[in-house]
Amino acid sequence: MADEAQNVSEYVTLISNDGYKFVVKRSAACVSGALRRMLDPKSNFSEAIENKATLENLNGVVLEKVCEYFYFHEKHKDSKDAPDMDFPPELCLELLMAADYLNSKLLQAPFKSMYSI
Amino acid sequence: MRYVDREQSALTDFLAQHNISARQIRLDYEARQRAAQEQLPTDPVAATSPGQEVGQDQLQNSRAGSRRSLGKRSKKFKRRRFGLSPEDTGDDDLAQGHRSPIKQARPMPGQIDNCVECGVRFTVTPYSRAAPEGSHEGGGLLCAKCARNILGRKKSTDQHTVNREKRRQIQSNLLDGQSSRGAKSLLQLCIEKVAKHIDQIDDFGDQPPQVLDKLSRILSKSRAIDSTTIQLFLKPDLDAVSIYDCGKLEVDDYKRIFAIAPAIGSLTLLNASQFQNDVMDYFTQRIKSLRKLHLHSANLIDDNRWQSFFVRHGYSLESLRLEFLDEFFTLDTIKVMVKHCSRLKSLRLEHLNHFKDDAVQELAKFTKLEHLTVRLGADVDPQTLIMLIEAFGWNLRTLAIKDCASLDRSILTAIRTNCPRITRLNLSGAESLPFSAFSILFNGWKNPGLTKLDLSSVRTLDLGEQSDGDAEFTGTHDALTALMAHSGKRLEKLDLHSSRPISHEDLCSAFTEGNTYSYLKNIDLSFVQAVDDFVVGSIVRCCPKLEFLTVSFPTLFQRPTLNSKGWKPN
Repeated sequence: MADEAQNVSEYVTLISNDGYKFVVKRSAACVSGALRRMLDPKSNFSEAIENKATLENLNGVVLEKVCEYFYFHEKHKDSKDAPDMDFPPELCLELLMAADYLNSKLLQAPFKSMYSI
Repeated sequence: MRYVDREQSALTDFLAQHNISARQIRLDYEARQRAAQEQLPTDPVAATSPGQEVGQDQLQNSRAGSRRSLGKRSKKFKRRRFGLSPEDTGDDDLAQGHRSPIKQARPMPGQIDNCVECGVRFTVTPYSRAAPEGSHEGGGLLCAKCARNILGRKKSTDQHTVNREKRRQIQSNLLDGQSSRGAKSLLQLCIEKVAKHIDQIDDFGDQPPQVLDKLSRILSKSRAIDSTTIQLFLKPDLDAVSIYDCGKLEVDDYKRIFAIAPAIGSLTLLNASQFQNDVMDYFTQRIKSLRKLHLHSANLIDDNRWQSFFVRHGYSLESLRLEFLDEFFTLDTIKVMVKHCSRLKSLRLEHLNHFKDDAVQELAKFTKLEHLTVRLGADVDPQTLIMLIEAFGWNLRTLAIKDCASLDRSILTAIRTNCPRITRLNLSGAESLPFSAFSILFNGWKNPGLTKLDLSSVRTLDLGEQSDGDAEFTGTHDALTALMAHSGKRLEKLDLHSSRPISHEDLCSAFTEGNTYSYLKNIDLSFVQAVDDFVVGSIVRCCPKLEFLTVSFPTLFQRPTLNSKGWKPN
């Protein structure tokens, strides 16, 4: 139990495929469903034990934007009419794939409403 | 730092750069002033500026009178020209010659001036603001920065535009079913960005089908799908092609879809008016096994093409949805469809000109149908529909009979007896069906409960009171209470748009305290006159998961005066 408690750190490290390391708050990173499951202390994955996740299919530039979004999302969690985060258009397709891969928590909600029309 | 060898104004400086001598202009001006001054007492008419029209008959009036009026005019003119206040213009202004108009006149927009506060050069605009009176001798204009610092920020009209745009966007998102709490998901942001820059994209790469579908919806909404953008969506191994606005696609574009992706199992093309006969021929011979077809306004495909399509592909079809086929799709085609589409589970036919009684009868031969949606006119006999329900009602999950004004109570009895599995019911626009009659359906119906119910525009007023008698036949006044008692536990969506006969008592007892409808998310009570603040409050208390409550026509949205019997419409 004591080990488990030690492992639940406030910050986690995300590593891109070209070796860039990003240290982000755990609560922010857990916006992404995939990261949440990887880093879940109960899961016993190596990522959870080391508090470190290597994302093989994201490069540094994209991962930086993703981390920026994590904090952006946390900042606007309870705000009404939050602004849209801006990012360069040339990144949008790569970011789109990254978003799909990381499966952010809010991903499903808009689809449901779209399908019901 | 600019080196200034002698004091001169910014305008002089500017003119000097363009080889214009400010001094010469001033001298010329003064010479003109002098000449005018000499002329003025002797010949008043000559001093009139060309802009000032003086009628001949006026001039021919008494000499003294005309001189007075001209004197007035020239003073007014002077005031306007030099921007002087009425007190400044003494009779001997011009004679004094002290006031240099170049110094007094405010620079025109587009010219360059020095800020009186900080001395910086700036371009004068119509929005440049003057220094506060008394702060600088002779007044002058402030640059944008000093104006903001000294006079404070003026609320610009641009802010209004931004707010209006934002409000409009929030409303638009609400109508799309997106609430505005928290930031949008990254995926949503990316999809919107991709849609915005669609013209710069060569290839989507490997995107999951739901992302492609979402992109297609957004691009269709902005009418951006044309011959070039359609190619981004086409891949040989595609299972589903969904284009929600094909208005800009040509015949060749449709053919390209089937040439590139012949293995599609699901095809959705809306506003597909160029889906013509030869496209249909190509489509029929090219595709392999189609499960789902949804065509909207493909009204140029003739009956022969439809029939040969059904002969060849009818067997594999599981879901068929056709809308706005105008003159074609006649009874013969419907017969062929019924004969060959033996595995059809979902059928939706709307706005077809030839879809009448005899065609509805044909549908009774479908035995595996689970979802049926038809839009019918007033001239369809309810008995035909009853026959249909009796034929395959036992297996139906969805039943939607829209705009059929001739429906009567017997259809409810038929649904009650024959449809034990139904979860979605839509009888919107059943104009001759009184709302109270729904108590016949819901009281003791052996059905696990509906999840979606649409009874919009069931607007006939209650005739139950006149035909006093059997409640089992006429229905009772607590139809909504019966409905909620039966389906409330599972209901997710309830549309009672403009079902006017619902009484206040009924609403109150259906949403009385203690009833909890734990799945109900979406309610539409627009134009239901009995809705008031109290009812809305009760609804919000009873439905913990409520996301949308639509109550249009808010003029009636107020607490009505209740008599002892409760408030009733009309």
